[in-house]
Amino acid sequence: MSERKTLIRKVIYIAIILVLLIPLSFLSSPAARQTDGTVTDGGILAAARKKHRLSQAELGDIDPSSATMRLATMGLGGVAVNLLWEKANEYKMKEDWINFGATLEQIVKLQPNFYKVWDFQAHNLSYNLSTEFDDYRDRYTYVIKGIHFLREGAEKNDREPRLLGRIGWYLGQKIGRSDEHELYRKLFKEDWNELFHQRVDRNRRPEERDNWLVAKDYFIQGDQLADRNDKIGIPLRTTPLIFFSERGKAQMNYAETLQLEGNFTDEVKRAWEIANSDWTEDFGNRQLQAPYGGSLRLNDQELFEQESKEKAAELEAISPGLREILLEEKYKKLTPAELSAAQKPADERTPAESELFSQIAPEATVSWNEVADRVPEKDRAKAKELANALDRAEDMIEGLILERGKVNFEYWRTRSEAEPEELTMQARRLVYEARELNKNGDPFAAIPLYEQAWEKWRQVIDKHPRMGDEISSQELVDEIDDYKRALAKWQKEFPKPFILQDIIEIAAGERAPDFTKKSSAPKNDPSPVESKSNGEDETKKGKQDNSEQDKSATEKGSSVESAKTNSTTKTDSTAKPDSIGTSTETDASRKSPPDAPPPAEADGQTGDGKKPAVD
Amino acid sequence: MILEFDILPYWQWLLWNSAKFALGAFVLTLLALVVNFLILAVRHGPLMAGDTIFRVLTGAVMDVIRLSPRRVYTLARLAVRESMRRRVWIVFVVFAMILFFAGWFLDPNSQNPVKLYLSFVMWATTCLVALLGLFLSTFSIPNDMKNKVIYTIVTKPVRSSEIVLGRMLGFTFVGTVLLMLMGFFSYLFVTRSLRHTHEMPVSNLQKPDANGVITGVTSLNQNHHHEVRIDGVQDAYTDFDQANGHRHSLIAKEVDGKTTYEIGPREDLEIARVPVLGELEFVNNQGDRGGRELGVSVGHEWRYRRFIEGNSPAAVIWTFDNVTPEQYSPDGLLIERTIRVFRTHKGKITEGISGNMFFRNPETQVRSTPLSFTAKENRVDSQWVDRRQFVNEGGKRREVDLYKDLVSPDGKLEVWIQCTSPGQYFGAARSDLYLRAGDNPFAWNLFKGYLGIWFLMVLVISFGVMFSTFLSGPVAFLATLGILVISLFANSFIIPLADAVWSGNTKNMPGGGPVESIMRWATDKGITAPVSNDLNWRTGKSADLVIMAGMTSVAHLLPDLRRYSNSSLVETGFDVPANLVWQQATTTLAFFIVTFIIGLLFLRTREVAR
Repeated sequence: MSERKTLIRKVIYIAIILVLLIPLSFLSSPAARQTDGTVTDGGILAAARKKHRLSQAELGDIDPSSATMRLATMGLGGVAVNLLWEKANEYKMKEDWINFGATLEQIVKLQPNFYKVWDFQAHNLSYNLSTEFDDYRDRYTYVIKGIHFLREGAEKNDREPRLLGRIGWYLGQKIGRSDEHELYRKLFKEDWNELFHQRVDRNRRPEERDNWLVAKDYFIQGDQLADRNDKIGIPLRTTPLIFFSERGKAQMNYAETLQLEGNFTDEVKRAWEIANSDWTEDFGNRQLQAPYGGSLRLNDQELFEQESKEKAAELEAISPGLREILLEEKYKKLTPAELSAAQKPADERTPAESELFSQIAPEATVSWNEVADRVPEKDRAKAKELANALDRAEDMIEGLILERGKVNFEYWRTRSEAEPEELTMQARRLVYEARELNKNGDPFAAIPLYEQAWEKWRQVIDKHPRMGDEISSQELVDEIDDYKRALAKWQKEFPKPFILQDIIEIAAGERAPDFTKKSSAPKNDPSPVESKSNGEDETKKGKQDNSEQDKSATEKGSSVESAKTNSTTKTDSTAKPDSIGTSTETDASRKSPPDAPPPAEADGQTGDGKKPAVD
Repeated sequence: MILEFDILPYWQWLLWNSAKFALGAFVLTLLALVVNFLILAVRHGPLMAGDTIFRVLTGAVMDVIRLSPRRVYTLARLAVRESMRRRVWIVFVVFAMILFFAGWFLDPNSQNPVKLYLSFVMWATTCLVALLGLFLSTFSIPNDMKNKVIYTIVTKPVRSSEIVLGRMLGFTFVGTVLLMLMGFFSYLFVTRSLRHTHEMPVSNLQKPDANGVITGVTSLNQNHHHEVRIDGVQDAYTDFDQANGHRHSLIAKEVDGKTTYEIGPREDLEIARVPVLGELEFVNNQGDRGGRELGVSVGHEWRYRRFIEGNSPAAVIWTFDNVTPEQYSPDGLLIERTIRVFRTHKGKITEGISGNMFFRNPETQVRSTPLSFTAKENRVDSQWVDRRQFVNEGGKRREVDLYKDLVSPDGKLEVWIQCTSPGQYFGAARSDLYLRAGDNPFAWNLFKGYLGIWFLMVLVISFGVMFSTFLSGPVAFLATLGILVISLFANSFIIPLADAVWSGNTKNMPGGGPVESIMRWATDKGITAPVSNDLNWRTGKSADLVIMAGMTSVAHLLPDLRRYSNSSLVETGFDVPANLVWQQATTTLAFFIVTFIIGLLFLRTREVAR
C-alpha cells in the first residue's frame, strides 16, 4: 500500500469523524442546570432522560465532587460503596466519630440520589450516635448533624419530599419529644454554637425559633413539593395520609408544648386555632389516595353519612317496613345462638358471638340490594339506584372510618376545637399550677387547685366527649394520681364518688368512652377562676403578637393560616367559640355541606344493622 | 488515645518475636529443602539432587559474600532510571491533585479537623506509595525477561544477588524521594488549611470580677470558640481547646485609651504528647483484684474497654513504673485521661458522672485522699497533680510527698479511678489514662508517621521483587497483593478463625473454616445454625483443620501490617514511641533480608541466571 493511499484514507476517516460529530452533538449534548435553577434540555438523549425523569439534573443539584468521585471509581462504584459502608460500621463500632462522619460524606458522594442512604445515615447520626455521648450538648450537636445531613440530601434530591418530611420529623420529635427535650428546645432556640439557625436561616426571628414551628415549615415545603410532583405524575413514595398529617400535628405539638411549659396566653389559643385550621381545613379537605383505589377526603365522612341517611329514608319511603320484614324472615331461619348474636349491637357481642356473626352475616343481615329486589316492579329501578348509592356511600364511610382512625382524625379535630376555649385553658392552667405547687413541695396549696381543675375538666369532657378518650384519660389519670398523693400527704380521703370517676375507669380499660354529649355541660362562659399562681406568670409568658405567627407562616409559604380566623373553626353557625353547643350536637354533624339541611342526630346505623365502629 | 495492641519494650519484643521468627524461618527452610530435594531426586536421582542443592546453596552464599557495593549501586541507578522512564512522578502529580481538590471533601468545620486532615493525607499517601511499590517491583524483572533485556545484564559480570539487591534498593530510593515530597506537601497542606484565628469583640467580655479577672468567649471559627480569662497579664492565652487540641495567644492593645484584645495564631496545635502507659488492672464489686476479666461488659460490640460499677468497691488501677521527678516534673505529675461513661439511667442530664482518683504506694499501701472529677468523654481530660498530697490517718489529714511517700522505692505508683455515681459505670482501657512526660514537635512526629509508611513501602517492594524473580509480572503483582491482604487480616481474622476451628469454640467466630463455610453457603445454613455430624460435615471440618493450620503458619510468619500504621497516633496528637519505630524497622529489615535471600535463590535457579 503506498504512503499516499494511506494518507488519503486517514484524511477520509478524519473527515467522517468530523462530520459525525455534528449529529452526535445533537444526540448527546447534556442537560445542564442553570444558576437560576432551570434545566436546559440538551440533546435528544438528554431530552429523553428528562422526559422519563432519569437525568441527574432532574433529581437535584449536581455536585462536581460527587460526579468526579463516581468517575474515578471507573465502574467499581458499587464495590467502593460496599467497602465504605463496612468502614462506616467499623468506625461507628470503634467510636471514631470523625472518620465515621468523613466516611458518610464519601458514601453520599457516590450515592447522592439514593434516598435510603440519606435516611439511614441521618438516623444513625441523630438517634444512634448522639446517644453515645454523655454530655447533652454533644448529643444535641449530633442530632443537629443528622438534620444537616438530611438537608444536604434534600438539596441534592429536590424532587424528593420524603427528605423534607424527615427533616421536619427530626426537628419535631427528636428535639421536642426526647428525654432531653427541655434542654434541646432551649439550645435550639438559643442556636447554641450557631449550629442551626445561623447556617440555615439567619433572618428567622427569635420568637420563630421554636423547633415545632421550624419542623412545620419543612412539612409545608414537603407538602408543596409533593403537590408539584403530583401534577407532573411523580408519585409520593410513602403513605400520603401520614405524610400530609404531619403539618397539622406539628402545629398541635407546638401549642401543646407551650401549655406544658406553662404558657396559657393568647399565643397558645391562637396556636390551637391555627392547628384546627391546618387539621380540619387543609388536611381534612385534601384529596388523598384511598387504600383500595380512587381518592377520598377525610372531611367527607359526615357528607356520606348524611347522604346515606337520606337515601335510606327515600328507600324506606318507597316500601315502608320492607327491610324489617325481610330481616324477620331471615331471623326465622337462624338458630337461637345465631339469633342472639345477630340481634345484639356489635360492641356488646362477645368474641365468640362476633366470630359467629361474621360467619352468618349474609344470612343475618339484609342488604340494600335485597330490599330493592323485593320492591314492587314500578319502583324497582329507583330502588336499585338508591341501593347502589347506599352501598357506595357505606363503602366510603367504612373507608373513611378506617383512614380517620389511622391518624386519630376525630380526636385531634375535637382537641384543636376544644383547647382554645377558655374553659379548657382554665382547666389546663389549674392543673399546671397545681402540679408546680406539688412539685415544689406545697401539696396543701395544690389540692384546691386540683379540685377546681376537675370541675373544669368535667365540663370540658361533657362538652367535648372525645376529650375523654383512652389516651386523654390516661394523661388525666396521671394528674389525678398526683392529686391522690397530695391528699395522702395531708391524710385526706380521695373523694368518692369522684367527679371524673368515668375517666379513671376509661383509663383502666373498665369501660368504653362515651362520645355523646352530656347535658351537664355549661351553657354560659365560665367565670374567672382564682389561681394560686403568681399573677405575673401570664405576662411573663409574654403576650406575643399572634399575627407574628401568621406572618411568619405566610412568609414561609403557607397561604392558609393568614386567611383563617376564629370563624372557620366553627362548623355550626349558631354556636359561639366559648359557648356550649346543644346536647344534640355530635361530632358526626360538625361539618355540614353549605346547602344541606341542619343535620339530624346520627343513629349510627349502617346498612347491615351494625353500629359504626368507634374510632 | 486508642491503642488496640500493646507496644512491648523493644528488647522484650525482640526476644519473643525473633524466637518465633527464627522457628518459622527454620521450619520453612527445612520444608523448602526437603521439597526441592524430593523434586530433584525424582527428576535426576538423589545424588544429583543433593549435589544441585549443595551447589545452589554454596553459590548463593558466595554471591552474598562477594557482593560488590559498586555494582549494586550501578544496578540501583539502573532501576531508578527505569522508574523515571516509566514516569513514576505521575504518582506525585496524582497526589498533588488529590490535595488540590481535597477541599471538596474535607470539612474544616468538623469537630476535629486536625484528625480528619491528617487521616486523609496519610491514607492517600499510604495507598499511592503502596501501589507505586507494587507496580514498580513486580513488573521490573519479568519485563526484562520478556524483553530479553535480562540477557544483557546477566552477561555482564554481575551476580544474582546484586541484581536482586540493586532492584530493591533502586525502587526504595524512588519511593523514598516521592514519599518525602508527599510528606512535605502534606505538612504544608495540613498546617495551612487549619490555620485560623478568632475575634475578641469587647461585647463578648464580661465585666471584671472582684479580683479584676475578666472572662469572656471568642468568636466562632472552624466550628469552635475559646473561653478567655484575662487577669491583667499583658499577653495571655485562651483556654486549651481539648477537643481540637490548641490554644491562641491573647494580646492586649491600647486604642484611644481603651484596651482591646487580639487573638493570635493558633499555638500548640502541632504538638505530640508523650504518654507513659501503666499496667492495667481491675477491682470488681467484691474487692478482687485482677486483669481485664474482672471488668464488666456493658454490651458494647467493641470490647476494647471494660467497665466498673459506680458507688462500689470496683476500681480501675494503672500501675506506673519509674515515676521520678527527673522523668516528669519536680512539682508534680500531669495526668491525662479519657474515661468512658455508661449510664444505666438518665440521672441528672445536665450533670456529668463523677468519680474519684487517688494514688497508692504498692509497697506501703499508703493512699492519698481522693481527688474528685467529672468524666469527660471524647476529650482528653488533663489534671495536674501537685507534688503535695494528703493522706487520711486516724481521721486526721497529713501532708505527704507524691514522689517520696506515694511512689515505692522501685519507682512504682498506682493510680486508682472509681466511679462515685450510683447505678452508673466508668469504662477504661490501658491507654485511657497516662502520665504525660512532655511533648515532641509535631513535625518530628509526622516524620515518624511517614516513616511507618516508608517501612510498609519497603516491605511491598521486597516482596514484589522476590515474587518477580520466579513469577510473571501479573502473577507477582497478585501474589504481593495477596501477601498484603493476608497480613492486614492475619491478626484480626485468620488467626482468631484458626483458633476457633482448632479449639472448637466458635462463640466469637462462628461459621467454621473455608470448607465448612462453602458447605454452609451451599446448603443455605446460617453461620450459627447447628450442622449434623455425618461424614460430609466431618470431612469438611477435618479439611478445615489442615487448611487453617497452613494459613495460620503463613499468617504468623507475615508482618502484622496493623502495627505499621502510625497514623492513628499522629492524628490524635500522640507521639509515636521510639519502641514502635524500632520494632517496625527491625521487622522490615528482617523481611528485607529474607526476601532478598529467597529472591536470590530463585533467580539463581532460573535458566537466565546460569
